[in-house]
Amino acid sequence: MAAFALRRVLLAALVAITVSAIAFGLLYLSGDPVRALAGENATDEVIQRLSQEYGFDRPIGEQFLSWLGRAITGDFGKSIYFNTHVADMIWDRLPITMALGVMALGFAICLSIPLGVLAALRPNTFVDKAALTISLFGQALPNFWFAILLIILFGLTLRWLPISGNSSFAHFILPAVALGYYATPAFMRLIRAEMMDVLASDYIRTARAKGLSTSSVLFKHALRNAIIPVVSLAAVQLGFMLGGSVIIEQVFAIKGLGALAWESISRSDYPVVQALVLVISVIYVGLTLCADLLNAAIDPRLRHGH
Amino acid sequence: MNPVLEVRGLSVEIPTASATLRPVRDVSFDLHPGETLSLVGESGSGKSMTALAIIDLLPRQARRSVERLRFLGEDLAGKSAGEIGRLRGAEIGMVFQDPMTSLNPVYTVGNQLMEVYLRHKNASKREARERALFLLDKVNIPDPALRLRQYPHQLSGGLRQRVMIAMALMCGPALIIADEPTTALDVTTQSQILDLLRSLQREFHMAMILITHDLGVVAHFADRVSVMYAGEIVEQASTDDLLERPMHPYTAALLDCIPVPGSSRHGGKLRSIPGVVPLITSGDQGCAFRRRCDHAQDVCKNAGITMRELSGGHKFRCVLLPRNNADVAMKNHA
Amino acid sequence: MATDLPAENDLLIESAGQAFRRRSLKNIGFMTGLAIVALVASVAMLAPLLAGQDPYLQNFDQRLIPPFWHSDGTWAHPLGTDKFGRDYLSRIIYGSRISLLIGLFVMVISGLIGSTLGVIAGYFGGKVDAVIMYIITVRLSMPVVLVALAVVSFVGSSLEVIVLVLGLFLWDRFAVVIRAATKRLRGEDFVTAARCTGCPDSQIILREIIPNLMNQLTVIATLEMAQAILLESALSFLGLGVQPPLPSWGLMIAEAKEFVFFDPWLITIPGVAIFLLVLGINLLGDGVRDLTAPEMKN
Repeated sequence: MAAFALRRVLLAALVAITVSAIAFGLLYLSGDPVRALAGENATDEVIQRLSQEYGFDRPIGEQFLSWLGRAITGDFGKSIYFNTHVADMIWDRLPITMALGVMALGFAICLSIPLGVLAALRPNTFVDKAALTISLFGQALPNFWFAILLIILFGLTLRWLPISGNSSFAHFILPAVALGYYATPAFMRLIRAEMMDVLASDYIRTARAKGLSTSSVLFKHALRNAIIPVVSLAAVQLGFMLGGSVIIEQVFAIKGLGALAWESISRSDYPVVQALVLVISVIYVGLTLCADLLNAAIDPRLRHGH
Repeated sequence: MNPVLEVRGLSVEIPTASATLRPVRDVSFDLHPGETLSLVGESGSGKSMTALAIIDLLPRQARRSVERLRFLGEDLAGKSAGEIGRLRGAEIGMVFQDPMTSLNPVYTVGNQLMEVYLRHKNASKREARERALFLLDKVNIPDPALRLRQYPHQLSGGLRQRVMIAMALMCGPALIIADEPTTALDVTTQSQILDLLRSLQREFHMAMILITHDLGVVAHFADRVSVMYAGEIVEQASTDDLLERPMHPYTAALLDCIPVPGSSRHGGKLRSIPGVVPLITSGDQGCAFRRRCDHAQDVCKNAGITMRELSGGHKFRCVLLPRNNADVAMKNHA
Repeated sequence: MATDLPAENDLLIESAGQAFRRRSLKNIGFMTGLAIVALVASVAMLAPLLAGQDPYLQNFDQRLIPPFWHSDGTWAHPLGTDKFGRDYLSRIIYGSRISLLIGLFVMVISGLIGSTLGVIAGYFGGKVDAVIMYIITVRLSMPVVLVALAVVSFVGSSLEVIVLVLGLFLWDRFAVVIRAATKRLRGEDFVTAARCTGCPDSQIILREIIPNLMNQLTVIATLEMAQAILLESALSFLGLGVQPPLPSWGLMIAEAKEFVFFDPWLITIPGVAIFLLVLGINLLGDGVRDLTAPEMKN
């Protein structure tokens, strides 16, 4: 078990480094970054100075390694636009995006579990077809458009919820729905499929033959088994939500990592963008690792090297 | 003594898109206290479905109809799902075929044993645990305290089946239904488990329905036998009677198929019954076995072939005259 | 013993094609999806005939006219006009071209990349597979929207760049599914038989494996096309996708944001268009899967 975990961690680290290399390389897509930074009318002297200050005069490999070295210690350099430490900027905004992501995930799961279980209990009936239709519709909705519709309905027309900023819990509700609904179909289909498999299994027949109550059979026995792959999916989906928060945070004016990413990209604030890509990728990788470990935690068969 | 279980006219129908299947047709039998009745037949004969029908565990699309279904003198057919649920596990215990998949992999053995006791009896966790330890010991599982903490995948197939038996006994049922309890186990384990079942049955004064396709098992462990074919009981008798004088051609053929080492019967070749058990649908008439029967005649196509009774409670469902049939049977066993 | 055999001419033997046609007609999802996609495709192809007006023509006298079902609406502009006085119906119609084109091109590019990687990884296994799995993992660990935004922002946004960027990003599902399918097929007897006769790998891949992948490939292709259309509209909405004055539906939604309260049709209509197109493509993909490769359901 320990050897397995170690291998996974090493692989994860390697992936993170590769991604960061790509993130680093993004900088050079715009041609000559120094010129972009300095502006069109910059003199050679200014360019020279910027080059040295930002280290652009050294070979790429060396630049990357020194950047990586500093990144590992948490030093992502300074924002070109604000002249503040990038690490601080990220650290300030990370909890907000995480909170949004977790809420969105919670919404998706709370919606999909009942739907999935119901659909599995009554396959090919109206309930099942309705659930599948909802899931199909959900996947076709563009999330930014859905976000705006939510704003129109709940924010402007009904005035139930705030639509801008992130100062209270209520501010996160609409954004969480807009971010989370897209994951609902995937969860719902998974739970439905797993529940159908599980409900047909021999041990559920045994549970019924023991005269256990319906809720005991459904929840204690069936759902507990069906939920196992959902946990892995949840970790992965949380990662996607962190990435997809760019759009939602922009629409709802939430000051999270996504908004920071958007602002930095528009301002060509390269150090911030590079750092963000790295941080989010590392979080992704970490989440996938967590998913594997969680799996072992909830499925006893994986614990004993079966 | 009053029978533990009275079944009259039990039938199961499953409507499908193309036809209505009838996997169980007009099954009737009695089961007395302490008795072992065996339901014997090939796969597809409806034996498992009969058991599931008795305890109302049929698949959702299946429909059960029954003239009389009494358990310990009480009518079962009219009971609600909740009432039957209280009987299952408490008064009627089931042991299923495949121990590898019949236990929930995410809960410990102890948890699964105790939950059935806690569900049906007003007991504390400590009492449930003690009962579980007691029964694990009764089924000859070494180190029961350790097993309680283990998960099913940590036990071998034989051990798991013993756990299943212990689980069926947790609440002290009056009836045990064992559906092919040893088919998935290796041969040595098989006889151990069957011996265990028999001794437990005697010790706890239980009646047992033993479902199997293996006539050898029947010969050693059953008091009475019901031979099933295509959903019907085609012959019913005490084990001795059945083995000595099989009346129905199917029973005779089954017995004939048992290889006897060193026998010169049939020129030393293995016998089998050609064909497969048909799936009977509504609208099918006549004897279901006629297409595989060596003695079939025109009259076998007619509907409504009823059970005929010989002395000693030996019944069979065939139109052939007893005398001829007996001659034929005798001939096959010479 | 005589058994009752059915008379020979009572037995219906269908060809595979006939069977597919019969089952597909009964599958509502498939038929609906096909209808929607066919409709949008025809609209896109016949755009000049259907639109009637120039989608780029600005007319400041005729700004923000509501659609025909409003009291202020007019049949001259059935879906109204936008803030520049451009005919909305025409813009929607021409917008379908953008969505479909981008969807198709991205699907082809990502399909080629992903399938190639998947087939190679699944067929050759071993170290090759490990390397490709690594590449896939790296790709999966990257936040797509973020990196796509960054790339487009730094390089410049044009139709070609968007197609290229999306194509270079959306190949992962192709790779994963095709790899799994190839692995499965490689273990099949007919492949083993081909290898036994000394058939070279390239031929086996081309003649035995790829034809058997077509079902799943089609399903994934439709799903990825829908994905690409959604992503493009999101990028255009943020301003880093298709640039004005092109009538990308996502861009139209962005331009309509400020009028949400007073002229809500400006934002609803393009959104509904995206929704319907993506829905149609997904239905089509699900339908194809149900009909040809039901094992993919999970």
